Amino acid sequence: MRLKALSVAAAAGLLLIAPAYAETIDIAIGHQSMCTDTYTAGIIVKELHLLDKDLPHAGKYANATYNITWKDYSSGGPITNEMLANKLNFGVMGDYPLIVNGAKFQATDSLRTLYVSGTGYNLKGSGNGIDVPVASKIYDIKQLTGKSVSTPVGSASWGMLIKALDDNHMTLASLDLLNQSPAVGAANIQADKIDAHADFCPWSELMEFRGTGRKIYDGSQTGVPYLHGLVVRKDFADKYPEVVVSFIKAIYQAGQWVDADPMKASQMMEGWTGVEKEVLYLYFSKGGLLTLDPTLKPQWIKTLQFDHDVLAKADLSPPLDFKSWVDDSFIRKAYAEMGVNYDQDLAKIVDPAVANRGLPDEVWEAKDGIKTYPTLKQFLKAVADIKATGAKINATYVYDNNSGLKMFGKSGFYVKSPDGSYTVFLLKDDADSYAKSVKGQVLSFDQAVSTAGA
Amino acid sequence: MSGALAVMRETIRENRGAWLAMTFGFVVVYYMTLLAIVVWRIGSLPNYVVFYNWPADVLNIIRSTPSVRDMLPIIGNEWIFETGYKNYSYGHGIAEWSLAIIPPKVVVVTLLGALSGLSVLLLRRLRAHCPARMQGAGAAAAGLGSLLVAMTNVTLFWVSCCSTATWVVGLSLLGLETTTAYALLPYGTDLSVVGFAILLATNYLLARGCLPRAPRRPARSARGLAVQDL
Repeated sequence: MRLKALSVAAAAGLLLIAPAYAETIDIAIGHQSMCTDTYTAGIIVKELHLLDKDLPHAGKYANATYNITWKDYSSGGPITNEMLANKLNFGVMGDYPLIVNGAKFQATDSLRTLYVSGTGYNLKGSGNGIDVPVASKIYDIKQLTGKSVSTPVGSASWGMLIKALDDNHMTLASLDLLNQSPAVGAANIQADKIDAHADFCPWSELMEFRGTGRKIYDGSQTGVPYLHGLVVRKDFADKYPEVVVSFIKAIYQAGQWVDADPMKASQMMEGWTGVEKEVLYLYFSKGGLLTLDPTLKPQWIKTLQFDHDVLAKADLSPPLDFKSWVDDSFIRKAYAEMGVNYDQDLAKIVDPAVANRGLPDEVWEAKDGIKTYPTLKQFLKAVADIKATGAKINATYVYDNNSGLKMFGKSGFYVKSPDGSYTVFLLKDDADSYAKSVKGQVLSFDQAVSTAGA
Repeated sequence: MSGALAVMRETIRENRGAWLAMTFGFVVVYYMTLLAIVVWRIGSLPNYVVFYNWPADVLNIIRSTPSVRDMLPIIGNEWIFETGYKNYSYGHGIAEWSLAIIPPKVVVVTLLGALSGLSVLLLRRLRAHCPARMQGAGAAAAGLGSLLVAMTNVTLFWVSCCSTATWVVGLSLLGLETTTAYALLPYGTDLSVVGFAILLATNYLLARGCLPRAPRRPARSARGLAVQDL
């Protein structure tokens, strides 16, 4: 009898406790489908349901159900506003908006975000770039003095523009500066309404691929890394730390999925985002512009501090205490649970100048997919041969001789040396200097293809 | 002071219909003008609208923001309606610009409409017994005050500016040179307050100008002779 009474009491107790765990956890994520470097924490996780697979269902989450919502934004700024309003718990964005996010939250009395994971980076700053109309006579940033140059003010590309001008002993005041969003800037480049447009990933490459713009300055010339990452509201992270850990696992898995088959990944991402697969391949393929690595490297924190100084100087960001904002405890836990050595990945930094040395040039044939060629001469000959058959080429990829950066074959400046070998450069100045040193000849892509095919 | 206030009250009472029409008409005209200018500047008509559940969003902010001081500015940025132009040439469409209706801003614009409307009514009342120069000065001052408030409450968004304040982005969109627009950035609230102060002061002075004048006492000259004002 006594045992029965105890059992009833225990059951009643359990019933009372159970509803506290049987809650629906809302997870709202803001991402950017037009910003390639955010994809491993955004569109890929969303479309492959990676977060759903990783979410905890044990312990205090045994009876929890999850309501995951994704909202797509054109830039990071609105994501921060929505996070402040608690309409989003997580936000994925680029370096400059990340800083503004942390700083805006720290400017409040009661709200904070945590920078818990990266998505990827380019060590030298590629992804940002300055483009001119394709028929423009401008080949060098110094030629921009007095010209109309547009950029989304306050963005990573704006920061790059300031650094680039500074490095070239120029100021913003020396330009006719216009504040334009990427889509407007790109359209104005196409219509030849402005002299140049500075933008972030993947707009420069998008303009190059479409043949509407030509890059005259690559973000890598600033030498300032370009990175993206994930922020979470601290109140959410405090309440559901395991969910944050699950999200970081999903980011890692998204990177592995891309690395396993970049061509297939690019094709699938094109369907999800509308960004051309050839542009995506430039970012996500082996040797591509983006290194997928979520670790929070000390170098990145220094980069963000540098970026913050640029924003603060322009009165575009409140102060930011990095020490309390950057929190690597979640990513360390995620790596430990996945059995991956975090410190080993943390120490690894990919420099395209080293890592891409010797990588084969590529031709993406519409019918047969990607083909690789060990030398530029073979690559150019292959392009000539394929063109002769009338087969469609989606895109070609080569590596800048100086920086090792991957680029579209058609965007390069080729130098044919007297010994018949070819070397390719991202920038005309570099090609001219090299040609002078080897007594070679600078050729456009089409000219190089013609001479190699002859 | 009380005399001027009485004149303002009387002016509103006598012209209640016109004043209300000007107050709310101003709000409509303000947002329609913003829309017209952006369409003219960019050359693209709006192709999407979004309605937001403003009360629910505000409730959510109240629930999730521990500090009241934090709550207010966040609520002050909540949108109730958005229209704009989405460019489908890139990705699955990317918004190029948007015009938002933000309730607290609407309140400010309504207040601006009310004060501007009062200025107009007071100027009309002054017409009978005030020199044209004073009327002109009044109109110019009211216009300046209105411009400052209107300018700092623009809710046009140039979608991809990652960290810029709304009203400055709006000014860039409306054609103001970028460097000048950003130079004004730190002074948004100050400019708005100054704008309202100018409007209030103008209305006060206009109302004083409308006060019935008491006959003046003749002043005395040094010789003790009465001097008549001419």
